[in-house]
Amino acid sequence: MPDILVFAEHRDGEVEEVSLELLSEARLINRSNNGNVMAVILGWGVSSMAAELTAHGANKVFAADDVQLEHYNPLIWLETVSGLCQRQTPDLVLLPATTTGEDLAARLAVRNDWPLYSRITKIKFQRNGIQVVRPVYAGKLQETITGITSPTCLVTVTPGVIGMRPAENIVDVRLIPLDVVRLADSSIKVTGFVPADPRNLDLNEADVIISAGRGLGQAENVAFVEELAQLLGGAVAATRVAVDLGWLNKKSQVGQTGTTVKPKLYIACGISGATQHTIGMKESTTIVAINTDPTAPIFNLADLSLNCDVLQLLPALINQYKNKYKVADDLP
Amino acid sequence: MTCPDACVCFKPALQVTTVTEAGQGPALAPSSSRFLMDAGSACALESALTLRELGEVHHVICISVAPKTSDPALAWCRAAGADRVLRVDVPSNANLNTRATVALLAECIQDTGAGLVLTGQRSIDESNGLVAASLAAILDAAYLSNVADVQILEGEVKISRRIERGHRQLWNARLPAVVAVDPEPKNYRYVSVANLALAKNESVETVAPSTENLKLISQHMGQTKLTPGRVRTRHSGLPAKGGTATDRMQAMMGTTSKTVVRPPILRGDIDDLAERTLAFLKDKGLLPKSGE
Repeated sequence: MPDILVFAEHRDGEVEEVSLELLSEARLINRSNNGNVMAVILGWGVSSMAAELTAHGANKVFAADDVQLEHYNPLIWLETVSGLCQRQTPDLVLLPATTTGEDLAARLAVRNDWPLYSRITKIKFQRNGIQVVRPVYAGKLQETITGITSPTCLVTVTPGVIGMRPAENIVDVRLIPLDVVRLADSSIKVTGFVPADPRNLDLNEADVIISAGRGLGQAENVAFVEELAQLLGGAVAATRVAVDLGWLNKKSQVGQTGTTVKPKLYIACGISGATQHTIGMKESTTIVAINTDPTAPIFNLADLSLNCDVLQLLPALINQYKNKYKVADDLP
Repeated sequence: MTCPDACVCFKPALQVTTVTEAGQGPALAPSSSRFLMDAGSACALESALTLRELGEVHHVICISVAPKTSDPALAWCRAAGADRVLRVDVPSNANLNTRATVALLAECIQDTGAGLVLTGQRSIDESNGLVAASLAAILDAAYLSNVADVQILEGEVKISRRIERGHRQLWNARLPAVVAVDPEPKNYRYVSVANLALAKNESVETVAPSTENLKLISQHMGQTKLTPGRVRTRHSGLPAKGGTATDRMQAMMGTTSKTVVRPPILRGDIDDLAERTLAFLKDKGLLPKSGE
């Protein structure tokens, strides 16, 4: 009866999808093994997320809810989670393969002398111990490791690999408050948090991309794209033509000779959809295209096709967004 | 305050170009034995060289745990500008697990007396990202991960670490410290062929590991088996209506038999279009939380 502890991450007041994936996987493993699935969440205002964690498979949710935990602090996180692991003695600790998850996993492994397997794609409980599978040599080979018999094993999982299963009806949320370990002297001091600046955001890191094309007409009109990007918390990109015209720098170029991106939302503003551009953005989850030409190839890729003048639509969109969501003129 | 020396620790990456059937059973083994500098290690070296150029560290020493066949990869470090290149000599068939790598590196670092240790994030062990954290524990140093920028001021390391969605976190730690450098973006200096040729002519300093640490090399947790890699699809978000953009592109080019429904093209009043766009984004959960 293995007990599994899932380290749940959250951002902007919501549980990260990868944490729910891990809970789904833990629930699946334990369906045949009758073990416990526990979740631990640390942060400020996180107790309200217990219901969602329970719906995705957690029998118990340990929550350390403290203003001190607003941002990731490696040593406080380590002490708090390590203490919980020692008390609950889970057989498996699942963490997301994110910057926080991997940093914490390495510290937990070193502190407790537990084995750590990173970025795995499959986990199985077998009679002779745990089996994990992970890609090695840049994905050219898969490594299957069997017979892991450590009392506690740490595993990190890449977001999006396992997949999330639908939530179940919640019977009872068991929220257990967790005390935060206070450190008198810390060798690492967390001195600040710098939020992403959409204007300097790396295109590969952006979930939302607003892209400028020749249809904007002139460099001054890129300001509309920048303003919308700021409102939606996204990055500004451009086609090769817009870069060649000097409207935006080369770093912003998407396409065959620029960056290949896979954001959740890609808004193509005045972009016709030439193959050399679409090859770099066609894997976007949702594409919104704005163009005056109804035969523009970009409309073949778009989830929302808007046949209108981008220079009229963008100001209208910005104004409506600001009015609807009460955004001050000078604030994103 | 005197400048510390910086150690860049790395293990040259084994380049796998092809895979062939191994002699026993269905397991496959890497057929190539060519070693390369991986991006993470190259970025760590770049950070160390930049610190030296700014006068924040005195010497840059590269330390590797590798067999003699990896010397060309070590020459790259010298050509890039490292003051010293040391190789902890291990047999070519050595199974370098995390524990062995850490013990061998720590022994060598302690001998150099370096105050700052840099490694690539997840570049040096069996892709576990554990070597830097373990080194920090042995050296009684602070462990700093996913580092994008590093500075040394008055005996303190100030770092900016890259986290998801383009955000940054700022951390300070007292020296000694072990810094794991984020390999993205791959910004490191160009090494000219001429410099590389000169560096290859110089012999690499080798260090013999202690017998105690050599014993660790053969120890391995669990049994491992290698099989060909699989292409995995990403499960995220809801599928777009009418299939993904790739499906629609393939349909447009006639390279798929899937039936793809193209969403209608909307036209009309601008305010109405703007309203429908916002409603669409809200339905898909693509508006920022602060806006909803």
